[in-house]
Amino acid sequence: MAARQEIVLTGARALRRQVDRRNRWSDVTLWTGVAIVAALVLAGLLAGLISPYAPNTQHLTEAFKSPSGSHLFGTDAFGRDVFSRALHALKVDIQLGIVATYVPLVIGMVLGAVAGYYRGWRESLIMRLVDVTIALPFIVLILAIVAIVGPGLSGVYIGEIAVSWALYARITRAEMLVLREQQFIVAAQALGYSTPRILFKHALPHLIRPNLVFSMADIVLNILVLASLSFLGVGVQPPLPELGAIVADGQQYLLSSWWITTLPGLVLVILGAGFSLIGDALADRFGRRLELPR
Amino acid sequence: MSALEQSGAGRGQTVARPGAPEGGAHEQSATAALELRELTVAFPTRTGLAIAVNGVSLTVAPGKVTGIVGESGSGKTMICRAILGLIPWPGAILGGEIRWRGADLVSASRSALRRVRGREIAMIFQDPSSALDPVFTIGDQISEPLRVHLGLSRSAAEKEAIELLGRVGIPSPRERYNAYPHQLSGGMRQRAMIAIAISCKPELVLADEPTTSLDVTIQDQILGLLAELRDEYGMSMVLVSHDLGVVAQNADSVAVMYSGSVVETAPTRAIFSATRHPYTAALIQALPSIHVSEPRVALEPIPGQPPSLDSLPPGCPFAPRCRYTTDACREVDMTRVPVGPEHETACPFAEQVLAGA
Repeated sequence: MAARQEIVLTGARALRRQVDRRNRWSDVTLWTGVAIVAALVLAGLLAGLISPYAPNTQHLTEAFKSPSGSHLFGTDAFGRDVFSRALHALKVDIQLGIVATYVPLVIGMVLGAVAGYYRGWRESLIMRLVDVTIALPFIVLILAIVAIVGPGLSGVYIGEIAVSWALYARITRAEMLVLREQQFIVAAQALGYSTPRILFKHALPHLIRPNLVFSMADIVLNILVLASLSFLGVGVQPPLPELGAIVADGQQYLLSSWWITTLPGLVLVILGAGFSLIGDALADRFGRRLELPR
Repeated sequence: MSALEQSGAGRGQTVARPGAPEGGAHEQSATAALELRELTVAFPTRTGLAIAVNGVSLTVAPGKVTGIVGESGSGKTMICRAILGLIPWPGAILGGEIRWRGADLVSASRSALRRVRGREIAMIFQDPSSALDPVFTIGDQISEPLRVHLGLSRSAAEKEAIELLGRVGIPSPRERYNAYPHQLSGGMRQRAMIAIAISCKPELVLADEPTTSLDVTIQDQILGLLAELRDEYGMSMVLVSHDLGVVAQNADSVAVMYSGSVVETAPTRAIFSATRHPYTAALIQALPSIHVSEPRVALEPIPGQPPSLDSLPPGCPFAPRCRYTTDACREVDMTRVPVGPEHETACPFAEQVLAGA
């Protein structure tokens, strides 16, 4: 009897250790991500104060200096300090990443919730629009919109918002379809609450999680799209610093002055990794996190 | 695309059924709080139209408990949901009337229905663990109708909600006010659900299998509570159950449903003492008896399965399983005929075949 109890207890302890380890790991992931993103956001916000040089001032005599104490990331073809430019670029990139993710998140959630709740013609209309938006390759559609609006940052904002709401709408509709059959939603209807009240007060808390998790990956994607567009020359216009644009500027000197391309590119990678880590940890928490009673 | 598929979320759309009485000059009888007339609810399926509620007429007397019994899929729940205009998509009310306070709820506007819901007619759901929203405290959920419908302030609603929690028998209501549904037991959850339903003092409560998800001792307490509340508030009640015993103990009158049709209505006592439909008789024969003194009688199950709702047989839907079936059963039109005081049956042969029973 005692022996059997011992076996059960040992098993329980082992299981708990395993679960603890995983929960701890997810904590580490989350806080690493938060630390990275917080540091870069802070760096971007304070760019005006902490950057050693003005981002756009040219010193042609100082061109192509390799990284050193006075120029951490070296200088580019116009003698501009790449580190200072990267700091200012962070602000542009992160701001776009957040605006072009959360504005579509709100639009997509409202449309998706309406589609899933009402069904019928509203659903058909919204979801066909989603299908059309998703059917075309993301970047091609944004390029087309940028071509209409004209190149520049505002074109990218409009293009990304016009495209990325569709995935949020699809996620939200799928969740709403499950939710609207739930008894507590039917109960809210039976209590005579208005539709906006049911949608925003009772349904919303259940719809937000998957969208938040997805938004972390989406921020990375949106920033990369901006960088890609700038790289292609239709995004941010010179001399405004933007990470993708800086990389594009430096590519022709890649073999002689590698730092112009590589170091800002690395910043972009770290920023993306930070958001991805947060996204992973959130998915872990909201989805599969295990908790054992103490 | 058929008209059925266009129905909105909140309620099924009304589609005029050929031959259904057109609204207008129908007066509601004075002895009924709620009156259903020829209510028909259907769902389009791949194989055809599934008739979930097939021309049901029913009255709920004021201040009384009307029981609806029937097996799963007989249309009990759909009647409740039709009354509140909450037929799930893609179903719809095809015809009939629901007379409430002199108006017809089937043709009522969305906003008129919303005024009725919660305030005049409230519903208690079968499974309180899924009918309570897991992300709000039960206090929040009881206060909400008070604030939305009665316009109480946050603090007044809280005070009232705590009182309601105490009234439905939840111990230390002040502490429970801040509890989430998962922190309560099944019985407590159902009490909270009842508190929500009665919060605005409705005139009619639709109790859809209120005790099915609870164990038997708790069942009894909850039914007792409902009876107390009904007396105290003078509410009418529709008590839906698949359990003949629950209905027998708690309802003043009973409607027995089979495959979307009401086959027999009677005062509760009469349904047992003077059964006038073979289906009701078969149900009663399938009930175990607890009286040891009685000679042992084997329980008699009803052979076969209820018919598929999208291919109902002509005439009486129970005919294929009925022990008294004759060819004439295929001609039965399921209109109920009176066979006693407030006693009606849809079986025209009942008095003949059940005379000895």
